[in-house]
Amino acid sequence: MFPECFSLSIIQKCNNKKFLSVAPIFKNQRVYYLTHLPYEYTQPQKNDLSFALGRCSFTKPGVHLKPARTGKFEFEKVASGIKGLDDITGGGLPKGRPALVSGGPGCGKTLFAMEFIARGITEYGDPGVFVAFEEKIDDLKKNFKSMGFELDDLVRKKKLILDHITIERSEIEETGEYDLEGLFIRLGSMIDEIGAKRIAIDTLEALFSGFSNEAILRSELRRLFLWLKDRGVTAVVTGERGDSTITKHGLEEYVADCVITLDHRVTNQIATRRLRIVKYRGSVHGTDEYPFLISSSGISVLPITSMSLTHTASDERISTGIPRLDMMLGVKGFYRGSSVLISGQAGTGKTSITATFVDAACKRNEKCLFFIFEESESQLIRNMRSIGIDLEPWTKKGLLKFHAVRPTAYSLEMHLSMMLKLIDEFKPRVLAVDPISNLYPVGDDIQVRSMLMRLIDYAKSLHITGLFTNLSTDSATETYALEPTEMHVSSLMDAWLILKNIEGNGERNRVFSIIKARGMAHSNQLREFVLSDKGIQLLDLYKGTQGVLFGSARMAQESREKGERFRRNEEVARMKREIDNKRQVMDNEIALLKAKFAREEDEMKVLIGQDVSRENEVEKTNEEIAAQRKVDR
Amino acid sequence: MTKKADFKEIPETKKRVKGDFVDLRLYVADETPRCLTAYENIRKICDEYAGGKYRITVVDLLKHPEIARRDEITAIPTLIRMPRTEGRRKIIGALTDTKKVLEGIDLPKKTIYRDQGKIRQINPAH
Repeated sequence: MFPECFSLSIIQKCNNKKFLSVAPIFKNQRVYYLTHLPYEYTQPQKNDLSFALGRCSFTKPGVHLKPARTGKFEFEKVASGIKGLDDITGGGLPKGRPALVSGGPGCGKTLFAMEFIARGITEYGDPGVFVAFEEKIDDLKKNFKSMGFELDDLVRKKKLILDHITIERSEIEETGEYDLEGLFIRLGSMIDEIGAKRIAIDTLEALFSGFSNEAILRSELRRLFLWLKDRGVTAVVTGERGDSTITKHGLEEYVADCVITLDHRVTNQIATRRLRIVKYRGSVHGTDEYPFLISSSGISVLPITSMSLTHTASDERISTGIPRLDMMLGVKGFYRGSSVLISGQAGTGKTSITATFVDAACKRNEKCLFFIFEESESQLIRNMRSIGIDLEPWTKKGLLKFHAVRPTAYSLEMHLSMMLKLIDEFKPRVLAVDPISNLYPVGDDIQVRSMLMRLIDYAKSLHITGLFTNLSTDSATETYALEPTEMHVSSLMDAWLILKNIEGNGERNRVFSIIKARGMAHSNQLREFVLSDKGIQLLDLYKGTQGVLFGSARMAQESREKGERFRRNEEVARMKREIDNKRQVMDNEIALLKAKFAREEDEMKVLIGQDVSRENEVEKTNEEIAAQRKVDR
Repeated sequence: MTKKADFKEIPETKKRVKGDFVDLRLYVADETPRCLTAYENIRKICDEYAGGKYRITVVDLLKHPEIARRDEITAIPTLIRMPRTEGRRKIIGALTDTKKVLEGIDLPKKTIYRDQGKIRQINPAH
């Protein structure tokens, strides 16, 4: 740790003498300060130096070691206002301290510095000073007007001071020792005039081209940074990139607190800009290279967004626009905020399904954003009309927005940034990207996957449902072989539909299946569908003896089965009639038997009756005879 | 220091002063040893090479910081010969190198002295 408070008082007293050099060394897990004092000051001087140095004792010349306090070292940060940078640095640039921004020509250093100042004024109310050594004030004003920074306005409001300092070697004659107090006075007067909290100096290396005495310059630069810290202004200093050093003249030595490098390189014929935080003392920061863009609204560092996977999941389900597909997806459809991959070979109907989904969402009055990497907007609208989906009224109403661009036109980061920007501006509820496979020529697997991951993450954090179509470039075989890239991308997706064209019987039929749908019980059927002028229609399954059939085979089977059924029905009817007849016959026979029996019964009854009456007669006669004979039997 | 002018009193020399009148402006910041040395040096130089026909205006930038911005002064001490024309350089430093100072303020390296009202020149030996 550099005890700057100590050296400041030393410098003020030392004038032209050598400065105290202090370096921390680590020994036995404690920090020690190695001090080496110039010979003149080895005698202890109680009044100023010993007080200033504090922990270092110097009873003898040379090296002294004393343990130092190890404590937490946390800087306060000031928000830079540059999109994405504050996320990476965890708050912004260190407050009251200088930050160095280095880069080659055209990397965006001046823009960085100017945005820091301008946004500090417009967004945080911090007045600022911009000191330009190389560009003229009028040029600056003109250049930044196109970015939306009205510098004239800010100057008039006394929130900004733009100053140009000319250091022209031909104008200067050096005769003897000097210092740069004039520069300090100028900066001081500017800072005091508006009470500036931020200052940008672009670029300090111009001093090296003006003044030839490097020793003086270096000591003055060191003094400048301490002076800036003293003033409590947060400074952004730009420097030109050196061959092997961060800056050509080694400014990074003096700016110990925050060093950022900007890079502009061309890979695969596509130019990408990257930003890297080389050093940020006292703060946790990402050490990766972050791609950034310079757009019409300034610098935007591509955010990492919520890569921590903390987005909440919604329980709401939304319809796909195809009711039978909703049935297959656990009855209700996709979850809101989920990501859906629709992959298939050429001509399988991916865009059509996507368009149907988008159409359904628009009907629900939800905004949709459709990114097309393959067709133009009007072409897609025309093509979808052929299946009965008219997307034009939605675009007119402002519910649907298309963004068609060739993927090879820009780098992946530029695409991502444009997409995120559009999402921010348009605030859709449904996002469609058709197709993502066109991004592969622009970057390699890792880059495309990383870009998609960020896009999906961003969409999920905003509860935007995303549909992504992917063209699989497999041979026209019936079996579906998964490509490695597709497998990687599919792990980012919550649902995956694969569309196939099944060949057979001299024709191709459209078929799809749901490979996965997280969080719901989905159908495992291989379902046939057709694109008609009424849209996408799912057809019923027909299982024959050979298995599931599609297309004309299905129709043939359908008609065959229909015939079968008809015949069976006939058969059954006939049998029914036969039975009826038989019953009829049986009934008749029974009737006859009954009749016969009834007759016989009658006869019997008559005979019995006759018999009984005869018996009675005989009895009666016997009684009468007995009565007459006046005897008992 | 003598010949210290107040800000309001610095006259703007718009036209060339006749003859070899040397109008110099020395920008300093506080009375540091270097600035004092510079003043002494320029006084000596003027005495020797400008023959009394000179005026040195010393501007203390700490007291008048706006002048630093107006006149674009970066290094201290800075010496400029007025009026500012094309090709007139800023001479910075403690002015210890006499030759450079003379070149910078356009004075010929010839000692001038007044002898009974007439001006005579002596070519220096070196």
